[in-house]
Amino acid sequence: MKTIKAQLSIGLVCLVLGLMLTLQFRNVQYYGGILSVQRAQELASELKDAKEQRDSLQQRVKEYESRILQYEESAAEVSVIAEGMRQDLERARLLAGLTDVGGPGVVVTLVEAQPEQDFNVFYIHYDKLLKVLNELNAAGAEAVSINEQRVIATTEIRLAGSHININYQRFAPPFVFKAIGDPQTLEAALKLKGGIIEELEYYGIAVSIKKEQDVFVPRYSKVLEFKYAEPVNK
Amino acid sequence: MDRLYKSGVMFLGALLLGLTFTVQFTASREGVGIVTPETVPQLENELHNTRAEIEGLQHQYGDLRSRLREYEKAVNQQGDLNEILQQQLEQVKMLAGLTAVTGPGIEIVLDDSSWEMTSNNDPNLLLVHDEDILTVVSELKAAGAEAIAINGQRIMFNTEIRCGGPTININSVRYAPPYTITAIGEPNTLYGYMSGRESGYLDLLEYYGLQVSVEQKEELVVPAYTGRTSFKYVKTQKEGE
Repeated sequence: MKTIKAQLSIGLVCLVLGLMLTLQFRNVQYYGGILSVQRAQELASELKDAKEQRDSLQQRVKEYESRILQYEESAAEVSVIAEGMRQDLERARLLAGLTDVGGPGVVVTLVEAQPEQDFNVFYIHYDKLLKVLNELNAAGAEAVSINEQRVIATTEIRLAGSHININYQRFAPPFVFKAIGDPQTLEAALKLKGGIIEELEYYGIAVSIKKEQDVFVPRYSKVLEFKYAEPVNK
Repeated sequence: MDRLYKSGVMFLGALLLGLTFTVQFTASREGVGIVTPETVPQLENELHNTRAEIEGLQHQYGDLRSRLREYEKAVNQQGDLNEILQQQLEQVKMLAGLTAVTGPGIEIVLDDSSWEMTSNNDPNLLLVHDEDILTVVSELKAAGAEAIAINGQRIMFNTEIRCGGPTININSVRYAPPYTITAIGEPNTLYGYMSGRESGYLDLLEYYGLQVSVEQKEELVVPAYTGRTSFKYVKTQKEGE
């Protein structure tokens, strides 16, 4: 009886040990084990600092922006011309992707249907992301973001090593498209028979579409400026 | 001896187990959670993105500060606020694609294959498809193109490039081949992304038989978008709403 008990406890310890070791060995195999834990800690604390810095900067930028808007609004109150320009500015900023926007639309989430395989389907078929965006545009999308990156006229979607670049930021799946427009039309365009969703599913990408009454699409997060292009009549 | 061996094994096992636990638990205490092979690259991406955001925000901040100064100056010393508004409007319209722009860049012409259609080749492969153009345009953007047009139709943030039978619709206007893609940006970079390297997408299209030409230009014109700019669903969200 005593031997069985001892054997059982050894067996249990071995099981747990095996599990923990597997987890660590997976680390060792890919990224160097305990080193990767240390690296993860370093990165996490750097990330925390960076996020704090970003949030405080964001606050200051918002403050300046609202002060500028106040000037524009007070100018618009006293002058019809200024009011016209203020409205034009608002529309142009919207077209350029320089303002946060909201409205009805769809949220489309793309995930790997079989995440356990050792390659990532998105890295082989990243051009399918371009096609989803293209279909949304064809269905009259008025503003789109992918993983919170606002799609503007110069937004690229491109495989760069082991991640996908969007607005020169790095992303890995899942990919979440938020599109503002007529929810019915947007959904129908994606779900079309023989359309993009069937194609994605064929390649091992699972898609879910949610129609929502209030979708938020953030502004383009960098400074937009041209270095080479200038107005024609200058 | 046997007992000593057994307790030795137990001791070793317990030691290793303790170590692994400690390492994993320290990680969760530091806010990393359980460390899996995906953790490090994920954190690296996030850090890269946050740093890029910070850089963008710093840039924005400087930009806003100088604009605010101009507004203040105009209000305090009888300057003309309307004039500043006008300048601002012109700048934003240009960035949005509502102004014709000029600059250096490249010109790409894509045309259906000149190969004989035989029973051996798939006619589908001999045509320029919407996907080909879509990828070329995305590559140009990745190479830093600032303004792009296809057969004179300006590429906007919401431009679709979509097959409609033998033609392609761009901004709801129909175009037939050849497709002339003009892009303003640094000509060498643009060219490098499109051709000359092994990964050049245009080389691939040419390999499949399409007629492709690329040329660097000192001066190109990309026309303004002239289509619909009124929207039905989207609303600007202002602070505090």
